[in-house]
Amino acid sequence: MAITVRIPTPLRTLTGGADEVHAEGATVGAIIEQLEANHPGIKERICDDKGNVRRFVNVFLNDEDIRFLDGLQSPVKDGDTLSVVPAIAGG
Amino acid sequence: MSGETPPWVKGALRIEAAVLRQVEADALACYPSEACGFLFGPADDPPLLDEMRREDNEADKYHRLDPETFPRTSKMYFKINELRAVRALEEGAASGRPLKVIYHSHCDAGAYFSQEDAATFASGGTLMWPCAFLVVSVIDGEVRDRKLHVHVPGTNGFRESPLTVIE
Repeated sequence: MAITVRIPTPLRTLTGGADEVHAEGATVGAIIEQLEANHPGIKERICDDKGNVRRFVNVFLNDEDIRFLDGLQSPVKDGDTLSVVPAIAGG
Repeated sequence: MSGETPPWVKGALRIEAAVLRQVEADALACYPSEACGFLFGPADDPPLLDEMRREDNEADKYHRLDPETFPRTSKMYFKINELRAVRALEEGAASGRPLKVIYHSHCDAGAYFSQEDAATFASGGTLMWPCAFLVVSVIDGEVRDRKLHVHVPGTNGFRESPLTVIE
């Protein structure tokens, strides 16, 4: 499954300045693994030591945060867009 | 999100009094939960804030889903749909009406920039969103204070900055 991945400004140092990259995989987790293979260091900016999405990062599959889908196991299909977005939160 | 740092990130902004009243009314309406939203203004007058847009606080939605990762409810936390924020940022830049400030309220606490705020909005010395930040303090159901905060470049810290109210 070939999908587009949108990269936020703070992570573009890892993608050579690209705001979008393309990756293939059957799940969000597989996409992130391929991102890591192509852009080393990006996975640790998205996921913590346990492999979960960091609290200050959000990963949207199309319009939905993957936390409300099946997380990193969420299936992807051709033409989907994955957006990595820093959190807007606090208190 | 653009890679360039826009001037409003440095603070010293002006806000129309009617817009500030709208922000404070939102903070009061949401109390005892935190309010949140965006402030916009013209690209050709970088310090000016002349439009607000409230956003839903999604803190409770995330808390219900995963209370371990998101232990706080909307009474002490705010969370905006980040994809909507990306679109607001892009649409604002394209229309000449950029998103300049992210605002939120504190309930029964001061208008300081909390450790949680700082940990979210800066990492590795980098500002995560090209904005300044307005915090409104609501105590016992009354607006008591509001302060503008801006990132200190190269650090994970923030400092207060002047916000001038104009009629």
